Amino acid sequence: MLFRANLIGPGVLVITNTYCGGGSKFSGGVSLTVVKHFEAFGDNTAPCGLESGTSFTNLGVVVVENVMYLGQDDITIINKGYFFLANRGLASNPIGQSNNTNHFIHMGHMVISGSDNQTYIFADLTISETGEIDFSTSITVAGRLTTRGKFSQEPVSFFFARMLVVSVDSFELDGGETYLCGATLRASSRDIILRNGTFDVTASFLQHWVILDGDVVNMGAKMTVQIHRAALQILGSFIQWSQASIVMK
Amino acid sequence: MAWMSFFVAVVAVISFCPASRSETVSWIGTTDGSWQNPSNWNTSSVPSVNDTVVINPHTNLNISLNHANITINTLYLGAINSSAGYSAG
Repeated sequence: MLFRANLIGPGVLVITNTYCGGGSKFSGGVSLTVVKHFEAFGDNTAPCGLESGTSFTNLGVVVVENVMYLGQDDITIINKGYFFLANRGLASNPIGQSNNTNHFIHMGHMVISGSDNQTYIFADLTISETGEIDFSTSITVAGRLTTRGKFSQEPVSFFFARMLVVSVDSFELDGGETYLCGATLRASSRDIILRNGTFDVTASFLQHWVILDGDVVNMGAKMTVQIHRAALQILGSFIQWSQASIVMK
Repeated sequence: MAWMSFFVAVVAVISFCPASRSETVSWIGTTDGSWQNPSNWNTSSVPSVNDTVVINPHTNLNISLNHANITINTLYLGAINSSAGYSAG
């Protein structure tokens, strides 16, 4: 029989290396700082978890090999290091819920990989100027996505968000604010807003079609569409403001 | 020879300095669930900054941090398998 440990706050934990699994969790206002390494173990029945009200700051490397459950309210995750998510990712319990008041502030590098399972981030996700995400699976952000960083979507991947705002406040010619879209990008609120920066869409006959499922408003971004023997589908309206540009290749 | 005397003195001082020890400290508590209670740990002392802490529950556990600021080296929380470098049980 599996028994679980629950570390209850309030309190501050600064730990160099952490290994968490077996249904154990941090709860009740724990403030956890990962200095070097954090690893979450366990299958869907007994993973590591963060309960409502906890905060989690990563300065090193985080590995979630299968899933880590998040509570519904006021969890703050700040990533300043490397964050690896595989399979179900940071999910609600039960998996698939959407309502939450959690925040994930991403300032480092995140890689999302694994099987063809859906990977979840059960939080609003803010990608800062220094943040970078590479993914080759299907991601659902159960909240609002705001990115001022780099978001690279490999072919044969899907992206879903309740609300998607691709926003760059200050444009710099370092490519750090490029959104590379190579598959499906679905905004269930219907708003795909491109305020600034670069939004590149690429597809070829070797890849799946690119589908922008929402109402696309290009307010000021440089949008490049490069399609070769494939198709770009916009399943909604498309509005482009005068200061925005689009290049079709 | 002055430098030689100085070198010997430095070595002697270093030799007598207590090294910062690291221990593996395991949870054995069955009563109050307080991290700060030394009797809840197998070493009879609260884990310190260089320690490895093992919490491998044999019953469902609630451990309270009680507003403390805690710094430790390594935490094994829950039934961790051997791939993490620690065999539970």
